[in-house]
Formats: sequence, C-alpha cells, structure tokens
Amino acid sequence: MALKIYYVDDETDLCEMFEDLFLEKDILIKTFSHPLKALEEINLNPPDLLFTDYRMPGLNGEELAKKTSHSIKKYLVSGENTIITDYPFEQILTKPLNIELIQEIIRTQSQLKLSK
Amino acid sequence: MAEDQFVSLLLRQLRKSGLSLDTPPTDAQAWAQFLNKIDKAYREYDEARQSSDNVLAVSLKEMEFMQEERAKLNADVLKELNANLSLVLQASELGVWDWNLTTNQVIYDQRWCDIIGYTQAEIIHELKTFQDLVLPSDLERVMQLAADYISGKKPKFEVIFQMKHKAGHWVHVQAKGKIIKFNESGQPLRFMGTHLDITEEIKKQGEIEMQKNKLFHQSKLASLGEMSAGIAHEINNPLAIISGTAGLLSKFKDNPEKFTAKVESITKSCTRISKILNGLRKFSRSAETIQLKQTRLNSIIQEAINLTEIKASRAATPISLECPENIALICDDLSIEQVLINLINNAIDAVKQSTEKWVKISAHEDKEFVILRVIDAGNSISPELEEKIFDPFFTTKKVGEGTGLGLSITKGILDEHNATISLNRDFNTTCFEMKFKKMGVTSGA
Repeated sequence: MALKIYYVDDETDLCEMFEDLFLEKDILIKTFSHPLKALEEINLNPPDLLFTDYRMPGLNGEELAKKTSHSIKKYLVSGENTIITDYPFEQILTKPLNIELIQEIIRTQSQLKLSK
Repeated sequence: MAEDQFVSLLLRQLRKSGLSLDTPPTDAQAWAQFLNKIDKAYREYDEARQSSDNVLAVSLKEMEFMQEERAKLNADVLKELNANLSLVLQASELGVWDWNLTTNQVIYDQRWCDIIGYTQAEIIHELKTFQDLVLPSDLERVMQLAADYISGKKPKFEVIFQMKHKAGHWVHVQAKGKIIKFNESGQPLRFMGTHLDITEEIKKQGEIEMQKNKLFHQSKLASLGEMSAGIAHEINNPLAIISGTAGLLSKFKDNPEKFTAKVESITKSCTRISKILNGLRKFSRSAETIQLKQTRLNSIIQEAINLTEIKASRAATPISLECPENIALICDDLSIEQVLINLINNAIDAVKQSTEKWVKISAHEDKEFVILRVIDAGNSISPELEEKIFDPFFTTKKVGEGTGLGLSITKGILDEHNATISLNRDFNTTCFEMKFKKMGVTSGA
C-alpha cells in the first residue's frame, strides 16, 4: 500500500516543489496551501505522514497538529529562527529544506509501512 | 506781627475769657480786674504762640535731618546697587565692554578679559584688540551687525561668534549691546555691552544633537530587530524554493514547459529576497542629518509597507493604502519612512487581540496641509494614555517587545519637519493623524 503524505504550506510554490521532489512510485502526495482545508481533509482521510509549515494564516502548524489524530507522524517544517512548541513532532525541519533528510524520512517510513 | 492783627487776636482772646469792650468797667477795681484779665489773656496768647514757634522750629530741624539722612541713604543705596551690579555681573559671568564711538577706544573689564584668558593690563583698550581676536570668518558678520545697529538699521545688537583664547583654543562668545549716549543731534557716542562665554552650552547642544542621532539610529535598529524574525522567515521561504527547485531542474530537462516554470519560480524567489534586502539596506543606513527634498508621498508609504508587510502577514493583518499619486512632500524621506514603520508596527501590535484586524494608511491634502493618517482596527486610545504615549520609554508592550522610543522618536522627527501628530478622535478606532504644512509645491507624478 502506498505511503500517504500531506504537505501544508501557504506558499503554493513550495507545495508544488514538494510534490515534484518527493513523488515516487508507492508514494501518494497531496499538498494544501490553506491549513483549514488541510485540517478538513486530514480528519476525513488521515495521511501516514504530515509535513506542515509553522506560520500560516488562520491556523499555525502546531495548532493543526494538535487538532489531528496522534497516529499520524508529524513533521514541522519552518523558516522561523526559533520555534517553541510543546507538541511532540517527530522532527522539526528547517527551511531551506534538507532534501536528502526528507527523502530519507520518506524512504524509512515507506519501508516501515510496506513491512507491516 | 501787624498791629491790627495783634488787636484782633487780643480781642478774640478777650472774648474767649468772657471780656468785652462793649461793656467797659465802671470803677477802678473793675478796671484793674479787666486789665489783669487782658494781661493774662495776652500771656496765654503769647505762650501759645511761642510753643507753636518751637514746634515749627523742631519740625524744620527734623526735616533738615531727614533730608540729610535720605541723601546719605540714597548714596548708600547707590553704592550698594553698584556693588550689587558688579556682583550680578560677576555671578552672571558677563564681561563688559564700553566702546567710545568717536575715538574707537574700548574699555574692557576684567571679566571680559578672563573669558579669553588675559588680564586687563595685557590688552590694549581699543577696538582693534577685539577685531584681532575674533575668528576671522566671523569678524565681517559681527562688525556688520554692529554697524547696522549703530546706524539704526537694526533695533538691537546680539551676536554669537568665536574668539581666540590666549591658550590657543576658540571660545564661543555671545555679545549683546546698547547705545547709552547720544549727542544733541542724536549721533550715538557710547556703545556699551556684555560678553558671555557660551562654549559649554554650544558643546552640550552638540552632544544633545549627537545623542538624538544615536537614539534615532537605535530606534531604527530596534524596529529592525522587531522585524528580523519575520525577515528570516521571509527569506528562508524563497530560499527553500530556490534550492529545492534548482535540484529539480535536471529532472525536468526534457519537459520544456515545466523547466521554464521552474526557472521562473527561481527568478521570482530571487526577486523577493532582493526586494527585502534592498529595503533593509536603505532603512538601516544611518543618516546623520536630515536632508529635505521633494519626494512623492506614495513611494515613501510604499517603502514603509514593503518593510512592514512581513510582520503584517504573519499577524494576518492586511495593510491597505489610499494615497493619490501626485501628493508631494518636502521631507527627509528616510525619516518619514521610519515614522510610518513605527506607526504601522504599533498598529499591527495593537490589533493582535482584536477580532477585526486591519491597518489603513491614507493621505490627502487640503489648501494648507498634507494630511497623513495611520488607522487601525483597535479601540481608540484613552485620553489619559494619549498624554503619555509620546513620552520616551513609555510603552504598553511587554518587556522586550517595545523600547518605548518609537512614538517619541516619531514626534521628534515630525517636529523637525514642522509637522504635528495627534489622535484624530472623529474615528471610532485608533487614528494617528499627521499634518505637514504645505510649502506651496505640488508636483505631477
């Protein structure tokens, strides 16, 4: 079964880029430029992995994480200098994106899912 | 005393004693009594007259004495006044000069000499001494002002210039003077005045000016600091696009459409970053002096919005602008930009907790003024708070969030532009209104 990944960022260019970068066989990527739209979709069709930006209009990455299921593995992606969050993200990633690191995460999670 | 006067006085005295010549005595005894009474009356009269003479004499003496005393007193007062005057002169550190306009002889007092480090004996008491010691580039102006005053062209003589101290340094001197003697035909004869050493004041003035510039620069840095978190975010985003998309280019080398789109996305991101950096570079430049030049108000506001919209978008607070293209302002554009950045930053902070979030900047002009407003959705500021908000170091923000200098610097800048700032209470929400007096110049766009 394909690994389902959601990427949430109000920068549409980054959404498109994320898809272009990590779309592979056995991986399903959906991007959202509005966090409230993402929240709706996450609760309807929860992904395996959620990558979310921190600073977004309406709902920030932390709030979004808190409103969604704990079974989803969540990664915070941010261009902020410092982020203080009490939400247990799997990892906090910085912008510009470390592509290898994200590829590694996806690969590992993908294998984990396949082996289940 | 005249005879008849004496008789009338005597008769009045007799009447007082109950004697009358209408009923003269009839026998010798009665005559003797009558004469006795006359004698007594005369003596009483004489006594009274003498004592009144005495009184007169005494009071005359007293008056003489008093006049003497008064004269003495006057002399004392005058002496004291003179002494006081020299004390006052000493205390006020005023040096005195006394210029004989006919001979050009000038008497300089000791304090006058002290100011420039000489003793009275060391200098020649003539006009040339003064002229030789005044800073050459000041001399012409000083002498012209003196000539204008002496000739009546100017109503008073007051001038600041520099004089060379005996030790070699320059002393800032303020001179004031008055013509104190004219001849019969109204020609001025004597011109007298004072010198005051104002070097310290001038130095302090310079220091204050420097402090002000420093403070201004610090407040710029503070607003820069306030913006820096947002700036990092705003640069990291396009940077993420650039680095990520660059890696994708090879993937799309066979797909011209997608390839072009990716290159465009990189270019767009680069432009975004350079726009931010340009604004910052211009903003952080430390301008020591205010340079007034005619600038389009619209472009100043636009620059300020460019630098604040990062913070605004993070706070989900849209900034709108209403400003006719052709309004021109004679101002120091960087300073006014700073004013706007301060006000916009404050406005964004002010609406943080509000349900409605927006900031509006509007500008218009009437016959006399260019009116610039920064309006936000926040509740209007109470009159008690209004009194304090322009004071330095007053802030309602949390520690570390505001320096409390923004509005006082803002007011300082506007003062230098002869402009005012106040809260316009015709609005239901907060409205800072600035009024710039027009100098009769408006330009097309």
